Amino acid sequence: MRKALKILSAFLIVGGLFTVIFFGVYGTIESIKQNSTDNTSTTSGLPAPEKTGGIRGQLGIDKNINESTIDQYLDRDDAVYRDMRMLVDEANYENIGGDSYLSGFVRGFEVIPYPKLINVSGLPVEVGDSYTGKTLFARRDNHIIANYQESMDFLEYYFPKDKYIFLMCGGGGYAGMTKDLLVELGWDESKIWVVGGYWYYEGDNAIQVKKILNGQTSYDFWKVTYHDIDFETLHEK
Amino acid sequence: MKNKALIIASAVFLLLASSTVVGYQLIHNQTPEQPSPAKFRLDDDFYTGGQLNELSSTEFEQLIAQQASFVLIAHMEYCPAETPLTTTAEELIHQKNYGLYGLKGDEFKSSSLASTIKYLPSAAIFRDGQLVAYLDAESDADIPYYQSATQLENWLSKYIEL
Repeated sequence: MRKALKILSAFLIVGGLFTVIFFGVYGTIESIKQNSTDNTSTTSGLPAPEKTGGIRGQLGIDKNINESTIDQYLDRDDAVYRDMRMLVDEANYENIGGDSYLSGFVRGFEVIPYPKLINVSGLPVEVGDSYTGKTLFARRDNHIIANYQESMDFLEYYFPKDKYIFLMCGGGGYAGMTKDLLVELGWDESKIWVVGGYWYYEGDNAIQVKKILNGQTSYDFWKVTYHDIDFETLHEK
Repeated sequence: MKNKALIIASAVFLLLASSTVVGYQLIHNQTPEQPSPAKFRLDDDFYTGGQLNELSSTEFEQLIAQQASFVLIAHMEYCPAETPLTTTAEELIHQKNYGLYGLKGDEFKSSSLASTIKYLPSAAIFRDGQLVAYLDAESDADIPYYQSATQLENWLSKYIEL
């Protein structure tokens, strides 16, 4: 009887200790999980693409690699950096407080005009239409079709599938549309990040293009690595 | 007797330990209840203004200095948004004849508001020159307020007398 009572006592004491230790450890682990943003991709050391919240997330802008953090991810040999604006956009972004001229960009980003990849729609009414000329691709009956024999070659050249791809533009919209286009055409979405808009960039790698001298505004477009598309050299399908 | 006391003490210890742990988890995970803000009345031109009145950053700072109470639409819709906030605001103005202020892109950037609101577009409510609430462009919960005049009004009605 005494032995049984001793065993019971020991069990109760051990049970109490176990409860404290177990829930203490469990609570700590849960707390670490909640606070952790470590969501690294397989071998790159890059956080996997993950949309941020709100309407910025609707544009596809990334939660982890964005205008505030892109400086940490520049100069990678295994990546390409693409800014999807036109040097001068035909849309009137001044009407909504923006800039139709490429006023600056982040060092390392090469500029490719998204409106020449595929027709742009859905711009705010005040802005009007962007470029409405020839494009590499067109959307017909919910399918994307190539207008030129070289259309896919162009994309594969400037957005190589074996590289990580970082996309920016003015506010994030064109960059998000570019990712959607690439993914729809077969690119791996886990290797593409929508960094967001240069308008929000506050890092140390801004290259200023717009300048105001003696009250005159001008643009140093010579600083920009701009991959325009000369449709006259391409072969229509 | 001794063993009985030991058992009772052990049981009490187990009970106390479990209660402490469970109680701590409950308190730790509990979201504090936010008190509802008291509604207030904006300046008269909100109720009858009937337009989106664009400000410069200087004019905005003057309103703050004058301790005005108003609603501001800070906007830069650089790229396609599903429904631009300005379109939603214009619809609300058209429906209810409200008078709102607007602050575009670079004017916003050079205003004091840029140190608080990180991303545009946003709607902001000011009371006596103080920022009371604003829409967060990175908040999933705020998405509906950007996309519908009715929802935008619902958001406003949480804070102001309509």
